[in-house]
Amino acid sequence: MNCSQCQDLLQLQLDGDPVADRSPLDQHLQTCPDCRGLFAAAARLEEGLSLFTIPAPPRDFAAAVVGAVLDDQRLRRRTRRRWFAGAALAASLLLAVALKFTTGRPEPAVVQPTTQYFPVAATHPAKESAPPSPIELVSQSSSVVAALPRRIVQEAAAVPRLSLPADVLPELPPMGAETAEPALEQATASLNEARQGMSLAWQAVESPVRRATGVWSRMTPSLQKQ
Amino acid sequence: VTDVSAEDVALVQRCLRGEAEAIRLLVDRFQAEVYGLCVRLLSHRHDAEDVAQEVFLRIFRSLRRWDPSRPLKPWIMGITVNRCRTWLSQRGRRPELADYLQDTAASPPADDSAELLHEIQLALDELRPEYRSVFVLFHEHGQPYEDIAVALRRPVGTIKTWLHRARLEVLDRLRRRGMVAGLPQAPESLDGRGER
Repeated sequence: MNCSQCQDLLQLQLDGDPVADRSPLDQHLQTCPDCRGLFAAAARLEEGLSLFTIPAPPRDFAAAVVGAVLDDQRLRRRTRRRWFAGAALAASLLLAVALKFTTGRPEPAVVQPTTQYFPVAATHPAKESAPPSPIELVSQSSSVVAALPRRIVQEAAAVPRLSLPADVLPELPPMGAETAEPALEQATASLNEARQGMSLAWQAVESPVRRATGVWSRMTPSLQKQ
Repeated sequence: VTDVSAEDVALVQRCLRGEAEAIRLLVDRFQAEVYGLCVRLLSHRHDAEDVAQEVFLRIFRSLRRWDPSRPLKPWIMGITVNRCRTWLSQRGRRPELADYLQDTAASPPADDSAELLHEIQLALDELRPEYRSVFVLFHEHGQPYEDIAVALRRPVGTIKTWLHRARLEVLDRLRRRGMVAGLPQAPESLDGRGER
């Protein structure tokens, strides 16, 4: 037996596997002081390792860990909920913008400088070329918004009809007053109410705003010259 | 490799459902192993307490990634070893000497056992982190080669090589420090390292 084989047996012994035939090993150990020293040291190591015990955690360690884990899970759940809410809001906004652009828009009203909306000077333009008043603008915008659901429903209903053969489909009445109108009336009722509310609210503040604008214009003649 | 226990799988599933009782059970079951390994690898009880808590937070955060076809304990020990190595690299210094005497048996013998334990601990502290991990997992925690290989994500052959080298370094230290009867204390270390 040489030193390398002797070291292999040493590792086996430290692995916990007993050496089957010790006589060649013992013979080698008698003649090799290095290997004899290694085996003696291994015996001391085994003696020391038998005294080792796994260090015990402090008494309240488990409770502290469980508390920390539960707190961490609560925090992560809250963060996740906030993230989802933010993502849902962003998605809704994107959808609204996309609908706005895909369903078409009315001709945008030409916005003139605000001094022309509230003509106070003697040189205000003629009535027929004047831009719409704020009440008219609010009413116009509300009508556009109220018309959106109707248009979406009509387009959604048209898609499956286009994708099926004509002979499969029964002849349906056109999307009009008899079928979709009651549902649309319901869907747009709240929007119409909102529009009326906005108009009434504007009527209430319209004349004070006009007076205030007139006073402001008179007090700043330099602006009128410009 | 150790067989996967159906009990482990059920326990993990309950933890994933957020059951506080299951979380307590899992912590109770592994706290001694995790904390003990941290103490031995970091050689510092306070650090070990902090790191062991971090380990459990990490375990519960990544419990969904545990593969139920593999045993749970090596997975947990692997996370523990990784956290200890990260901690040691951040600490940027050698492990401090643990209060090793408290880790010995309840009735310490009157011979040189305390000194022997001290020398073994010093020898462990001098080992490379991966050698130390393998040595502690095998000799103190009784983990088989296959489970250590799973924990450290290394082939079994590599684990054996690391353990054999770790043993030889520890034995060399014991001989140099005169802890072996009948052998004179070596005046100088074989690899040129200074004596403590």
